[in-house]
Amino acid sequence: MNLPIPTNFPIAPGLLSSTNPVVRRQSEDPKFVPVLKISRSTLPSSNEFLDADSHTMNQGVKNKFEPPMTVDFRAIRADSTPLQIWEGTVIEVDHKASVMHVELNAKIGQIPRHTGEIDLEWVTEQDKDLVNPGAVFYLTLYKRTERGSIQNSQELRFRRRPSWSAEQLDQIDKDAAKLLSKMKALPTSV
Amino acid sequence: MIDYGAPPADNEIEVTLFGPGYGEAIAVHLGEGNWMLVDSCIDPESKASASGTYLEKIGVDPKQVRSIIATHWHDDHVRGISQLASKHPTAEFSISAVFNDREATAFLAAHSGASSSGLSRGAKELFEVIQGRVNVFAALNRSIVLEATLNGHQVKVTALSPVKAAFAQSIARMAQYMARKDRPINSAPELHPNLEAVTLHIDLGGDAILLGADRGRPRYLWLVSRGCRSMVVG
Repeated sequence: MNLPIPTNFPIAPGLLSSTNPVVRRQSEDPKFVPVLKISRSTLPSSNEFLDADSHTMNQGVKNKFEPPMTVDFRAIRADSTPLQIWEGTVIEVDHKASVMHVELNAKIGQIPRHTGEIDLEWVTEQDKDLVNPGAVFYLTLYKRTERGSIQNSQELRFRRRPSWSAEQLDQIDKDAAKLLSKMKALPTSV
Repeated sequence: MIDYGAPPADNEIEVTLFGPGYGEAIAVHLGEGNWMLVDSCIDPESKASASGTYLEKIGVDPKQVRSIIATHWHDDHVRGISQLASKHPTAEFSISAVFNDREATAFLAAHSGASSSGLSRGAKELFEVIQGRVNVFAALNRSIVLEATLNGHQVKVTALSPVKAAFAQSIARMAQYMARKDRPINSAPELHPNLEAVTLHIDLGGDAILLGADRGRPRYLWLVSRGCRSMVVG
């Protein structure tokens, strides 16, 4: 099964790997983009990612992988170019499996809307309290060139949104009652 | 500019699908100038509801639309449906009976944009429809959405879903996105599978059409003609 990743997309293996993905279809709809599983277990042991053009991994350097979700300013610099930005929404949090099921909408880049799973350990400590159904985050893939080689990095940041106020909840309650008063049952066939 | 041609003849059953996928919106001519509209999507030219634009272009009087149904609240099926509802004020408007529930209406109210913007376009559209109408009808398994005698045939539109067993599950899933004190104002993503969706059976007196409402197979539209079944779209 092919993923909707352009062939020239310089992608980090393990994040959205086109070579060894864990893929399942959400539905039979052929237009529905396959689910991508984003799992730490699929990450490479090296922090050297795919070469932008050849899609071959540079196996020469064996550094300990730094989870990109801890904002690593050595990786993301002013000269980093964002390749893909998704706005994501948490659909469900599975604490047992330590993953969150998410819906991703491309803000820039060529990968359209799809769903996926992200390991909770990718979430920074300061964002952990925000991981709830409906929470919105941004997942960004960056590219930068260092000493002639292209390196990719990613960042996952949650939006810190205001809480519902008592006034808003009161208004919702009134609106809900008003909506319900307008609902009428239809006759039924036997 | 699309040339939509002439409207169907009085005795002609016509099913028109609109949308970028399999047909996110449907217009059905039931006979003798009576129309039913299912869901809505936006026409890229007019930026208005595609089925509404179609009826306008072929010269259908808005009063000829008997019924509008929002099968489910996913964004791609309800874009422009509040506008469609305003444009056809005499049409009966039906939505899933799952929303005939205080928690479900609270879900729509919370994600309507009234308290904060951009939370869910689908919920906002349904909220605006219900708010702008005197009544909205709740469709569930066996609900009769429309019944009339047209061209000498008894025409009957019946909902086949949701079944009551799906109500609790739908509301339990919506509950995750309910507004609560000291909880952040979050978004409501589309819920899959859409257990609350309204599947429709249109009995045309000998022929029948099944509209699948994005609920797996059959996804959208089947024609059943005198016992000989053929898939048209989906």
